[in-house]
Amino acid sequence: MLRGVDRLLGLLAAVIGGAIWISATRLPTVPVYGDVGPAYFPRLIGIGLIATGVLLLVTSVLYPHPGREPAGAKISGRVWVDVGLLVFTTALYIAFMRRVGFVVSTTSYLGILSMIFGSRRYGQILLVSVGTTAVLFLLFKGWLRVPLPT
Amino acid sequence: MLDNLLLGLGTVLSFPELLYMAGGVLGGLLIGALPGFTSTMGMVVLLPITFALRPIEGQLLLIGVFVGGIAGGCIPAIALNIPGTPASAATTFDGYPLFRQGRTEEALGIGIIASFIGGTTAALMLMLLAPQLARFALRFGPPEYFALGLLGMTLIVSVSGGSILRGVVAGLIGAFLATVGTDPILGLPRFTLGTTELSSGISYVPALIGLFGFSEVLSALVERLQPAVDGVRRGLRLARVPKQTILRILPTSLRSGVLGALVGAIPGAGADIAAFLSYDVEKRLATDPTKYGQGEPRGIAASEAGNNADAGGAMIPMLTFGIPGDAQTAVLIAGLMLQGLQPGPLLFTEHRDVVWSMFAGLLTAQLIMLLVGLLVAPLAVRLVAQPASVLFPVVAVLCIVGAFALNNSLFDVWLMMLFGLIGYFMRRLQVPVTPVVLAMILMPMVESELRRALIISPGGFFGLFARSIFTGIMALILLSLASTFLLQMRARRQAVLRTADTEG
Repeated sequence: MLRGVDRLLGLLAAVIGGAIWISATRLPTVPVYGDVGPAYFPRLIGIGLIATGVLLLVTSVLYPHPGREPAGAKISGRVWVDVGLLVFTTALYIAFMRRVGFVVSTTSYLGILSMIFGSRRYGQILLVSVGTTAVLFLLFKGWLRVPLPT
Repeated sequence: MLDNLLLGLGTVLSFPELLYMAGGVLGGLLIGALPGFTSTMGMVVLLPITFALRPIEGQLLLIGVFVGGIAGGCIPAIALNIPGTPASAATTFDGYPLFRQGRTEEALGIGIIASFIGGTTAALMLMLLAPQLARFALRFGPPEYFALGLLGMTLIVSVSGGSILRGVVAGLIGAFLATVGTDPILGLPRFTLGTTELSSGISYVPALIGLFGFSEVLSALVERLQPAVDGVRRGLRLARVPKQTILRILPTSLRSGVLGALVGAIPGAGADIAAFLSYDVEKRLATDPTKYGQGEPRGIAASEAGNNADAGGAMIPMLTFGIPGDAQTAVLIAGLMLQGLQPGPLLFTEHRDVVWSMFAGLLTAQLIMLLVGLLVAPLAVRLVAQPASVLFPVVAVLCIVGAFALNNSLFDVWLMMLFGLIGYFMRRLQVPVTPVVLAMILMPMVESELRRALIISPGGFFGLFARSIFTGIMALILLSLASTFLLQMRARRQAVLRTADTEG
């Protein structure tokens, strides 16, 4: 698996490096600065990524046996569903927090996340969600005067 | 020096500065006690809050979390045999056997006291060395700053784990992200996709929060992280250590403190190396090395003094040259930059009050950590019994609120979430995330100083080697890389031998 990761990462690095290099050539040039213009550094990064990507590819082909590192454990479909739910809920929270308001959206978000994390103690969920939202609101808005999405 | 220290102490010991720092230490200890939580995560979540505080207050809060978090890492290492961070891995060798012997309070006490001695030693070394180095660094020009930035990037070697090439790829991606926005020399837009949000660049704060905070929430969900409370006893009391044991661990803690601070000052080396090296040295010096691994108090002391001293050592290059010694000092740099302060030699002349308050803060934080740690550490063992369903949702909200609070912008929140997802998949594929952030912080300096250096250098890049300091720093980079490789090999050999001993 890990050598597969090296291959994937090597390919990705080489492609991204190439894209950066090409994009850098389209950046405006300033004759008085010669080569040391806006494109200079991105071009170096592009070349670096291509070179590292190729090195990763070559080493993964030359040494195809998995290394000593343990491969990551397989993730079940159920867990992927939970991850999807967490990401979707977070996206909804970010999208609607201004319209719904910080207090309502945060309380709901915390409650849903607790359930995604497997809690079914509804009393505890309610207490933690409301309590945390209140503490955060008072801490950020009241004491530190840090802006909240309201 | 004494006048400056008194000036700093005067600031630190006033209200509300002391309160922020004490709160930071307590929070750090609790964060460090939780497996899966790191002091870096605690610091990035609090980073946007510091924006609302005065620079000194913000830095003291972060230093408090930094010191508390590293010391708190010994709690799960001793009570659960789970190193909260790689830096505490060597603590498990003797901490857990002592815990199994029913001497939990003593083991935790040794860890906290050794952390205090190691951290204080490093803080004193920082105060002695940093001002001298900063004075020397005033002679630096663009080529030297470029070389210093490269020296900072050598940290990639120590955070890349098994594959340095993967770390380099992550670093280069971070370097590219740092080029998005306005060109630092000519002010022309680069890779902004025509959007106004990207014209000022990709802020490293949402990236930090996403990569170190939100990605941890995803990891915890996937790994179904649950507290391992089987071995945790109820009814623990105040951490107490017999006087004879304190006297026994004192020389070990002092030696490991000096060693840890020196290792920390090398940008490429990390706290895990400091801890393993200190442990290795103490074992070699011992009259009966077979006691190590069986619950030897000096084993815990060596590891904890070493990794806590590393924190102080890492602040030497951070403050004097503006290059981070590890992920936590990268967050401290971000905190200073958020306040419009640029770490480096000029900070010592233009903001002497901030620098000496940080020194005094690091020193005072050790004392607070000692007092709070002895009180809280046994109770913090119980904290690991809190379910993930309570803790991680709170972390997720803190990440979102923190990313928003920076610029009052939802764009930053989306960016944070994107970096969180990227960070999760990077961890899953065992690609280190620290190089991305490191490059995002350092590369703007590296790029602008390199281009300035090349513009003024008549002989191009190789002409820069005519400057002795530049050549010296480039040699230091090679030395740093070589020493990190050697130290890493030694630390790994120590870990392998230890595993073989345990299995045998």
